[in-house]
Amino acid sequence: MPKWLRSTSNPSPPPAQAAGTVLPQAERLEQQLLAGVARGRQDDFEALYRLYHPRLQRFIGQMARYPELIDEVLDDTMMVVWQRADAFDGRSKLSTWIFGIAYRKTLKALGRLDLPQEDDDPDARIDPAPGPERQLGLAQTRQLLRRALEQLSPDHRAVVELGYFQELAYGEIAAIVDCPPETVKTRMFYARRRLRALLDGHAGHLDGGE
Amino acid sequence: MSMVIPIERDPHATVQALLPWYARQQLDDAEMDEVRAHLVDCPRCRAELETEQALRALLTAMPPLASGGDVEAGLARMRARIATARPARAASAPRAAAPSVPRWFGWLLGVQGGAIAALALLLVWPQIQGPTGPDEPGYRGLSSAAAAQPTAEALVMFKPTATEREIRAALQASGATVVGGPTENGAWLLRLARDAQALQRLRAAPGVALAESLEPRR
Repeated sequence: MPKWLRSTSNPSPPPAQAAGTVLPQAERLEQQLLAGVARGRQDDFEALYRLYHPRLQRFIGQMARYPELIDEVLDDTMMVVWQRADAFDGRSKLSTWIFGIAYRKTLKALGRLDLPQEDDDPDARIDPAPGPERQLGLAQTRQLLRRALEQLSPDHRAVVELGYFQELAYGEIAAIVDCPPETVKTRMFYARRRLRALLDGHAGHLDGGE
Repeated sequence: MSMVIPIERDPHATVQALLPWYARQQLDDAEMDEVRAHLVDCPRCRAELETEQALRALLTAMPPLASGGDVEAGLARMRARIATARPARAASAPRAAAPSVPRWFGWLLGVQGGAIAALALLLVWPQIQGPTGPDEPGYRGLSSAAAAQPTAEALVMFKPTATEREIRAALQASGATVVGGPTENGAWLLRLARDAQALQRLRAAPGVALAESLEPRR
């Protein structure tokens, strides 16, 4: 069985209860907090909120791009955790469940904004590789990268964010965005190709960091 | 819905799609072998791999596209919402009492951030809970004699600017041994020398951003 499948699915009952299953310690802690939340313990909920706030804020911010949406979506996500803690079935990591909620809430909030459709096919709008201005400084390269990220669709940004920043395996990303693993790979391929195309010609600046 | 163009039929696209995970060795063995075998024969994809690290460095160093408010403000909003939502919640059947997270946990979270509290709770949890019953076959405390890992007594976070020499000196001064970490947030778990001042010496050492005991409060 591939590693990504092992990390995102478990055909047996919830691992917290499954005989002989030893959860990683951090996961066990989070699930213990969630069990407290399911019993209505607000202290446990607040601990879980603090644990997830930085990661969710980053994820929602990257995906939605609109600062005014972040707090609202984050709170709505955690409200689901508070009210539906007993709906977590233990088949995935708790973070997969919570990020999945945040992903859907973000898409929904973006839908309400009635924004112009962003790229579904980011490959179709690859900027031409820079010509005479190829010797851009690092700050400008980052600015270009930022613009390129902004031009991706929220779906593609979610995959880039989860894959690069949160360092999740593609199987886990697939579970969060609720699509086949092949779709995650395809989204990453096109998103990455778009970013690469933009940065082509700046390789000298890519190697040195700051 | 996003349009999905299959890439499976193009071996270069297949390999390049996997590069972010290949570079972190986050693929299963078969996929690692598949990518490696392709890279041996394909200069184009090797070049892609070469830029992967740079792309990652740029991406991960970028500030977020947008930021929200701080955690305390968020918690205040949540408390207000929960207070309103509570009547609906009270309808659910009460369950058997179980050990709760101790009171100081919230304080610790506020002071040191979530990850550290998570670690602290994680390490003291077995002692709070006491011996596990037969209904929890998979549960084994860090401090149990049979546990493979030694019990961590403290955690430390070093300043981003700390040098290897400073880190070594800090550990030596406090007689500390690293028994775990780094965690996602860069904390290390330690055992300390058997004297009351070990933690103070660790805190005072240059290069140390934070040092906290993981021993349960008495």
